[in-house]
Amino acid sequence: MNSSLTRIAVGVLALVAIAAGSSARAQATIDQNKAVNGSITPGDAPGFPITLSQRGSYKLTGNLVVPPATGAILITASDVSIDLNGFTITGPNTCTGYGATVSCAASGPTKGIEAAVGVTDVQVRNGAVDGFEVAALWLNQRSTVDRVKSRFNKGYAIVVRGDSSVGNSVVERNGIGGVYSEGGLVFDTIASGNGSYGIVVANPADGALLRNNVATHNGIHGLSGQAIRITYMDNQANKNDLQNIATGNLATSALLPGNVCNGGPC
Amino acid sequence: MNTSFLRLRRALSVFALLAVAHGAQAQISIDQNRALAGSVTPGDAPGYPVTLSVPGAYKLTGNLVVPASTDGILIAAPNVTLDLNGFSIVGPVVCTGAGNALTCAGIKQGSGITHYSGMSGTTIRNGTVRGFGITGVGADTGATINHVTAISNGGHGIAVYGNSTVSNSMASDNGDTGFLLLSGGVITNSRSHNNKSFGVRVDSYTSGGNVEMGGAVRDSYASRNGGGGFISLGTYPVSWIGNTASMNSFCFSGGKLVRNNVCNGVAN
Repeated sequence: MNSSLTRIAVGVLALVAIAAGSSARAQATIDQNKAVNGSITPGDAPGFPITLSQRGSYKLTGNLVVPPATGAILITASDVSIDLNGFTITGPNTCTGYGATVSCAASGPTKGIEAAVGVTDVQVRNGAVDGFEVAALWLNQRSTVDRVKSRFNKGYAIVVRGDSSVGNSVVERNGIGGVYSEGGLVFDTIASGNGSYGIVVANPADGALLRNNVATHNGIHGLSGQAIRITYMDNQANKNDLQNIATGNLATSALLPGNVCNGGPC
Repeated sequence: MNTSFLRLRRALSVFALLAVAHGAQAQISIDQNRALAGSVTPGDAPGYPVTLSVPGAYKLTGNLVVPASTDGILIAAPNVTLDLNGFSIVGPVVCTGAGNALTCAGIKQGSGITHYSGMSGTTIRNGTVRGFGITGVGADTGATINHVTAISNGGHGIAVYGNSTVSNSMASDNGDTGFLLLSGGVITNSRSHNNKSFGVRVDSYTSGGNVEMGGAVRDSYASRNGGGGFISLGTYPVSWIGNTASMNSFCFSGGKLVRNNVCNGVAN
């Protein structure tokens, strides 16, 4: 091999190295193997839960199957965005039945994706999280949940604290309820066949806007207002066992005319 | 020169051409290292701000940590699309407190994303901008802001000129207004919390070729803002449709309450 050829070969290797370096700086990806190996972020031990200790953007590149008695992802830094990328995180919990007859097995007090105390501004989107005991998503203030499906959780599918947004999601056949919000927006979401509640807004909510949701066949309430200053707009609630829309004290909330219950006014 | 060498050189030339062509077509990636190195686009000096001087698509591939008193990204070309890709642009300012008692610690300079005048048609999506002395996200006319969060900035959270749309976004704990439409525009499905001034403010700015256009704010939510929830200061009426305001200094001011607006649990 002459010297020119050698120089070219070295150049090619350098190009490949640069490309690899560029790839390493990209969005952090998560799959089952990476979860098992650990070190996705500093402090992430091998196995579950995956610990995300740095703000940033994370993306699933495969389904995650989580063993009993542990969560899937523990978030310990604010400003974390998780793109489920169409994949599913599956915990061990199972439920049978529908609506008031839903019955879920116990699998340990686990949460699928959990934001640690004080960790805010988390975003989860575009995939499914099923089969945890406490909740599939357990997030704090100013969180955003978009296009998430969740089933077979013994407690709630999605729990968010104040000033959060849940949209374009589907929550069904969970032991207690679909969405539990302490205020913010819940919109374009379907909640059906949950043991007690489709969508709950609870204290200490400062208020909430529930818009364009569908809640059907839930064991107690379709939409359940357990706080003040809630706006119910253009929702549809059908065949929920006790009440389609339970507004609580209507002197402090607004049930607008566009809501429909069992095909008529609410 | 032997034939093997010639074939290899020819192959490498083709490879190089393909690589260049690919680079020209692909989204340009931005991360902290590239920001510090400069030359993200022609004229981009090392460090901040990252200057985007060429129309096209850009994507963050990591968080950007920006020092005090400077901007994070400067839009210096029309029709720039910036995908924050779930990452954050972070400055050093921290705002604390509730409503009109909110205060921001740090130097009152620098914006997370700002622009030269006339750089219209910007799209910014999918990420967080926090901790800047002035504005979190600023864009010129015809901007599209989607799934963007602006938190803890010393001035406005998100401020855009006319013909712009803001959707699915949040502005919280900013030292002035959460969402500011300087010459009108549209906001949908967004929320503003605990900003020192207004949650949503629509102005009538007409200087520099801007034309007041009125606008609409729909399906949005404002709570605990110190100066009020939704306010229109423009000449043309803004339509408020399907918004909820809770625990602000006031709920709605100016504009036209079209339908389905609620103030502290009472339909307006």
